[in-house]
Amino acid sequence: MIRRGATEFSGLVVRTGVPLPPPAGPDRQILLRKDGLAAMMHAQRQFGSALLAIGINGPSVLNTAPAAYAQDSPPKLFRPPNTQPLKQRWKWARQRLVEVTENQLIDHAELLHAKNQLDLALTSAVAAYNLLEDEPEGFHVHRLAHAIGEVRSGLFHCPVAVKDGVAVQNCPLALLHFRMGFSIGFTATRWCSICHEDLDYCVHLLGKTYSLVAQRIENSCNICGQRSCGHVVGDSYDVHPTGIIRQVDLHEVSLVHRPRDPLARVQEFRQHVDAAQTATCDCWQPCTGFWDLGGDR
Amino acid sequence: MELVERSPDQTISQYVDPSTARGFIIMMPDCKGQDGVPLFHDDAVGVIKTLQAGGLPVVGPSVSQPTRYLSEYSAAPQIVSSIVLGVAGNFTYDIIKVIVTLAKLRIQNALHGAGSDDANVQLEIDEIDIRPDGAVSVRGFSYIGPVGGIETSLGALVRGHEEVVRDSQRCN
Repeated sequence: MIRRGATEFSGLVVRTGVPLPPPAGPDRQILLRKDGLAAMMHAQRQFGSALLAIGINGPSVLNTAPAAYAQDSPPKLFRPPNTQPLKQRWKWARQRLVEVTENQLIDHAELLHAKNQLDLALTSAVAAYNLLEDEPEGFHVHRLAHAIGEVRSGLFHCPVAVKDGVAVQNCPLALLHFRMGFSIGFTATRWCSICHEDLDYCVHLLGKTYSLVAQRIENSCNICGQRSCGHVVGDSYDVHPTGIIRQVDLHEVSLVHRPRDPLARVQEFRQHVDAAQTATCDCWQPCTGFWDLGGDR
Repeated sequence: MELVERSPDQTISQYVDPSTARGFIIMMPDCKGQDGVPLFHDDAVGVIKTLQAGGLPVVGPSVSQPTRYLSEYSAAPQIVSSIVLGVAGNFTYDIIKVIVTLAKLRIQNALHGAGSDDANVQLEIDEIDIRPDGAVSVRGFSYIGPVGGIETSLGALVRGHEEVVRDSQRCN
């Protein structure tokens, strides 16, 4: 895993085309919780689908919670990690997987499906953790992410690699443990979400309810701003005017512990290495904790 | 909570004629961009027209182009809203009520509709007054604290000012 000393990183600084949560307050908590629980359920379904496809009833490792959660968990879960037996177990599992595939007990398509589901499940679980970080479910979803990561990496290896002398760390589970995200500062104009005129001068007042006919504008719903939603085109809905952001002038991008958009995160660390060097990711191992630019947390 | 007198660095006379804006509250830009363009924080979007529709005496600076709003996308700031106002004339209890309404609306904007008396606000007010002899006096005040405490603090300020005036009249 690439940690301190990383020379470059890239990521998503802000999502566009979706309503972002407010910076604070009860509405932020409600929105993050709703989206986080939905992502967690996605992850559980995808993980279950993968396990069914390859005939594994459940992950083998439970001692994956980080030290930060120690006070909330049974002590038996916090034995010092002993990775050697675990490594042997997954080596055996990989050999077994080769055998059953050669004997056509598992179809190749099913195996590919399982791998894809594990990738999707891990991405969903990481998104869920970023959304539920401050909620009680954060503990559970962190363990879920490790369980998925362990099976994915244990059976199929983590796809971290060195290419052209650059080690690229883009394993979602490894990146989850870097607890900083992006905050942007920008100036822009605001236009009314109902009439598309200057929001400072149009007739629609803040806090008032107006009836609006649902339609798709630039692939987004004009009622909720989402690309995918349950609003029926042609039906009328009660809405409040909100500001559509236009003429954006980006001023700065910062790394912060609590980004306004919880999914605005680093997606890749890159580090120049010797051509002969290999990259490894320890995402199959028990959790060793979180970190940020100040070091371990 | 903190209410202090400060040296005004941005007076309402920059943006409006105080002689015609008497009795009005002027919501002044929160800062200026590098190109000198006045900027408001994004919780100020639509506030002036909404208060005016309610019959409240609030105006903004006259600008020829669409107002530009500054957004800073980090979560859970200590200060939910920073507001800069100008008051042409003396503080009165009616003016204070308008200031409180304005501050609460900006908090609601910042929190996407969830108003809270506990949300912290930074409020800077420049009070400009034209005396009968034509002299212009400007005073600046800063308040940092929960939005629910604005009315009490500014009310105390007005009462203190009235007592000073009464005392000075008594001396004369």
